[in-house]
Amino acid sequence: MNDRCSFWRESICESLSGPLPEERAKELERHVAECAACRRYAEALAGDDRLLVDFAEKTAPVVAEIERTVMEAIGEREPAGSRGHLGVRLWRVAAAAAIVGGLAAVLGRLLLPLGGPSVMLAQTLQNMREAPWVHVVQTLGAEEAQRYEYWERAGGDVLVQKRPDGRITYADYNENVMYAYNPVANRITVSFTTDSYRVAPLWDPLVALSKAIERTEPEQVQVMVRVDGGSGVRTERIETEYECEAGRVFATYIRDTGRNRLLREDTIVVGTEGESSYTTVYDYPEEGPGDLYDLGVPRDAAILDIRPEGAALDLIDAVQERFERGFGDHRAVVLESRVDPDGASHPGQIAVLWQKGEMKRCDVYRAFDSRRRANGVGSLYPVVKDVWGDLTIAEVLEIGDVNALTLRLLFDGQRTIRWRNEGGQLVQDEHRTDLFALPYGPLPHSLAGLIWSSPHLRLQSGSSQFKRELRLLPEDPNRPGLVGLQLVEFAARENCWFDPDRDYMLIERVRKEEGRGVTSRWAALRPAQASENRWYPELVRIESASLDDAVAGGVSARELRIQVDGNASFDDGVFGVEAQAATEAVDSNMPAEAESTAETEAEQVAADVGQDGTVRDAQGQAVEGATVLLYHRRNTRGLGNRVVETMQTGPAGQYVLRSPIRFERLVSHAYGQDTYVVLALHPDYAFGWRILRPGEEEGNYDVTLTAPRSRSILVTDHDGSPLPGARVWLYHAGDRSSANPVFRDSVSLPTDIGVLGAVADANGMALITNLPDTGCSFRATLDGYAQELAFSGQNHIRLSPGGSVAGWVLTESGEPVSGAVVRLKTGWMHNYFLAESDEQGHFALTGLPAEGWDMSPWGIQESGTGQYTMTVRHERHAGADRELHLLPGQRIDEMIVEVSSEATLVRCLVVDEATGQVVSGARIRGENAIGEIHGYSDANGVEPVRLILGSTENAIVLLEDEDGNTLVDRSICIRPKVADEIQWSAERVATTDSLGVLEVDGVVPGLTYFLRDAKFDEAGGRHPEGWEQWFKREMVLVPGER
Amino acid sequence: MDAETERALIASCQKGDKTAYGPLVRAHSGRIFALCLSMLGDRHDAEDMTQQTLLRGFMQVASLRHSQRFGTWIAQIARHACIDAIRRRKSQTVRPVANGSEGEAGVRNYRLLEAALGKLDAKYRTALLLFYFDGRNTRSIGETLGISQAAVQTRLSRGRQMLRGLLAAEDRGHE
Repeated sequence: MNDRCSFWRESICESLSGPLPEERAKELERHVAECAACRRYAEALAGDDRLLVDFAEKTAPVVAEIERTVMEAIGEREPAGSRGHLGVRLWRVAAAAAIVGGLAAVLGRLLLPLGGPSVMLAQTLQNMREAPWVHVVQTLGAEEAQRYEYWERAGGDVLVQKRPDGRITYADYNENVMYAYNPVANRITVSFTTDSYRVAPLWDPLVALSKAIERTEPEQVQVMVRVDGGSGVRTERIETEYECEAGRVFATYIRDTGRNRLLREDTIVVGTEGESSYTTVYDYPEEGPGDLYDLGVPRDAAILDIRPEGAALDLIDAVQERFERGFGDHRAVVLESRVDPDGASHPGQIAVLWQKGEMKRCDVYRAFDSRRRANGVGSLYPVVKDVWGDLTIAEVLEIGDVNALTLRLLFDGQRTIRWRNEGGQLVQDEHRTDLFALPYGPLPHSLAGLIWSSPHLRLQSGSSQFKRELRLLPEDPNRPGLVGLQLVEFAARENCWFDPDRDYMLIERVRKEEGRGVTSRWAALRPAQASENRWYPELVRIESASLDDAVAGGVSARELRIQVDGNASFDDGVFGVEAQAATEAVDSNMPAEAESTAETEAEQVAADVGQDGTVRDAQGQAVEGATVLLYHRRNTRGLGNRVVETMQTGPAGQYVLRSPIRFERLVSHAYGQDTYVVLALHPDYAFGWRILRPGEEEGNYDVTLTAPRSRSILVTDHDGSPLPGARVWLYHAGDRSSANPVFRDSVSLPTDIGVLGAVADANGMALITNLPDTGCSFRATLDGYAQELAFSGQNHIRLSPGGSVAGWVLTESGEPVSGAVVRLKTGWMHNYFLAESDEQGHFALTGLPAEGWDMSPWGIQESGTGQYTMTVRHERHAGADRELHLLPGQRIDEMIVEVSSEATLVRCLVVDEATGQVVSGARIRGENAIGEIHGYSDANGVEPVRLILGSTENAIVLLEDEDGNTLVDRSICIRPKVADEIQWSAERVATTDSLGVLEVDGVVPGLTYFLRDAKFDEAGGRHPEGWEQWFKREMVLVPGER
Repeated sequence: MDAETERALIASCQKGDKTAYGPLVRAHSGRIFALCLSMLGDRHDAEDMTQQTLLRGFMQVASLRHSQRFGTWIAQIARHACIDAIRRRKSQTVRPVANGSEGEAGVRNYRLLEAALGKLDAKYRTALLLFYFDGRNTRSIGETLGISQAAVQTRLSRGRQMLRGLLAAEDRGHE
């Protein structure tokens, strides 16, 4: 094979993906005919092609199955945010309701002696209902009409729906059974008809008509009545025209006056979104469909009965019975917190719940930190942020602010009135169902929904063809005493565990999705009792991972803290007009909220110019003479951390820090964010602290000093021999679950600031005083030893002999490079150490863990291996990574870290795909035949990737064509070929001289380059001459090792 | 399916017409399946993932602003879902799939093919599978992968060459 064959083999491959240019195809054919090797190659490739075709064809039926399954699943779902046809249909039905209502009113006016509009139409409706069967055909749209069909048996105990897509639902309420047919799956699903949660599972056209009668608004109707006896049936033709929410409505009704039944309705609605029309035809057969088969469902349709049986049904009934019975009279508060990945908890929402008899109320307030009125809604955050962990029911009732109200529900036993805050306005609507029984996300609207949920609701298939099933879970030894149900639905399983000993309270709910694993977990962490056998969860934790979260590896968590007063006495006004009147105050309170926003903005300005505050003791008394330090925590590893300012508090305990707060970066995650810490120290107290974070500036940082305590830490070597002189200093203090709020925002100090620690005595004991009564961890350092720590609760630190690495960062020419960050990353656990080179390029890292380093504080019996990866990072230079192995006591003092100034800088922005926020600290590293790249994104997500080029050489080659003719004065495109792929982006053009010599600089030795003619016409376009005439060749321009 | 029809179907879906999604599923399930098969390496996993992707696509179709890019958009959903699935796997070993309905020789050939595909660089494997599962249309592959048609051609040619080498090696190994 020669280069020519290589080219033709490329062409053979190309020919399998599409036709080649005619000339080239002919030439290929000639070559294959002549070249046995290429012929064999072509035959082999053709065989591969056939194999791939067969493979795809054999798998193709699976695609049909996919389509079937997806469409079946879709049949049960509504696209998020869509104005689906169901929505359109309801909208049209609403319009129809208004029409009928209006019609009734006018008829009433015309026929008032017969007893008023509602009575008249109600009589018509009653006559319709008394027919053995009512058959309704509703056709939406003039073109490509969609036809819905309904049958209803007298008394409404059988309802049948047939949809345009062929799906049919047959519900027999006497038998409590529902059959749903899906033509795509050719399957009948059998389920219960339960509607005990007061949500009608099937749309009933007569019920819709009945509701319309109630909504009669006579003044909006114009009507003309005409009698039409031409068909032999005495009918009334009633034409109406009026305005409704949907637009201008033109409707015509035909009523059989003899039998007092509606026969037909033709309606056109002209609205802002165009014109729509529908026709409804009523008829009254003596017999309706006896089953699905009467409606044309094939006899061979598969039957899927999802009704649970036996023990599963017993458990469902037990839980459902409690859900419907409810918790009884109560008043309750649910505090929803958002929990950060690091465990920090923040106010989220507050729900206040009331129930008395059948009457229920729920108020939901926004309580998260929003400096502005997001969507016009305020927040209780300023009021609750400092007392979030201690709020009581009475306090919540006291602070409830209608401006922060996002939702209010009132149920009077018959209907629910709902207010939703939309852009600062409370919008009211009304529902003939108990909305408290329906789930609304993690924050429950009723205790019953929180304690039991509704198995029927979960199982309810309504018109569903969606495979959904409830099964009994086997006993789980890890969940002793609990009984479980598993809900099975498309690609998801949800396990619910109930506690029979606690009145079947829900203890845990775990949802798994195929391909994703656990997507949410709901767990009742602390059961409590309001009175005997009235159990409820006092604390619930909810973890969920969205798709985007999962890609990013993150999980969001919430906690619900529930307080219940099961013996509360309250009057009915809670459920009546007073509650409604409160919502009307929302506008009148707006100016006050605007003022508070202005105050917040003023505070923001203050935060930029300096901090002040007061140091007080736990009783609120000012502490004079306390030392206040401002510590800039730039880096979790201590690089560049420093105490910025120190001062004393005045007689009133006040302090003012003059140093401006300048955060060096703003990152989306707390881990990489630099912060400031205000530390207050006084000999009579434990030290206190406040943390300043970007976006949370308050301008005033009061610090509370608490009673002091001491800790003794023993420092020894591996043999247990004390190590006098070791310095032990505070590394971390605080506990987010502490009962004392001042300790919840924990502080960590990566460097020894010299005031919070002690030196070990002759016995190796270090006594650290003035500590707060909360979890504290410590670090110990001693020359010759590696830094080590003691977690909270550990009083013994074993130091291991350490190592050190020092040297210089230099360019290839020996110039010192200052400001380079040298990073040593441990190979045995996630840990790293940083140093920055000085003006002379010098850097030093001491106290490094070496081989044999003690990992017992982490509960790990193995020792450190001493393996490190050293990387170097600099604004203008780049260097290759280096592996190190550090032995105990080893000192490396003269390491030369060479960086290249010849690197090519490429800047890119690293953003989180899901949120669009910049990502700092992202690492790009790799190498190929051209060079190596090394880089980290900085605080602003900008990643200056450095491409380190290896040594390159000038190449001088003589170019000849196939026939040995030199190529004189020819422009040649030169592209490197890396990993068998031509790098188009690295294309260069050079021209051969009068002797056919091509000279190219910057050539990587050993690398293959693809050369071809670079022919351009006068206008700069590609030369029209055929490709096959061009010079093309792959070659190594400079011999080398690659 | 022509672009105009596809745009109309998407508009219908966005208005909630579920039946309009059927033709879109038919038109795109092949490419999504090929994409998932390439990334997951297991036919059953790929089937499941294809179903999930298309279902998610319907649920999120209201958010699609440029209906002419449905193919690219749904492919992106598939890629994310597959990445998610791979992250959850302890290993990313490409698992060959046998087709039991074939004769012994056919099964062996498929196994060899799948083994070879599994060893192929992902970008070449994806291009090849899309080509054979999605109507041999390089323009459509380019849209799905967000690359030019010329780049698709290059990947297909490279993929074929490499696949040939791998199959030849497999053949030798079985001799």
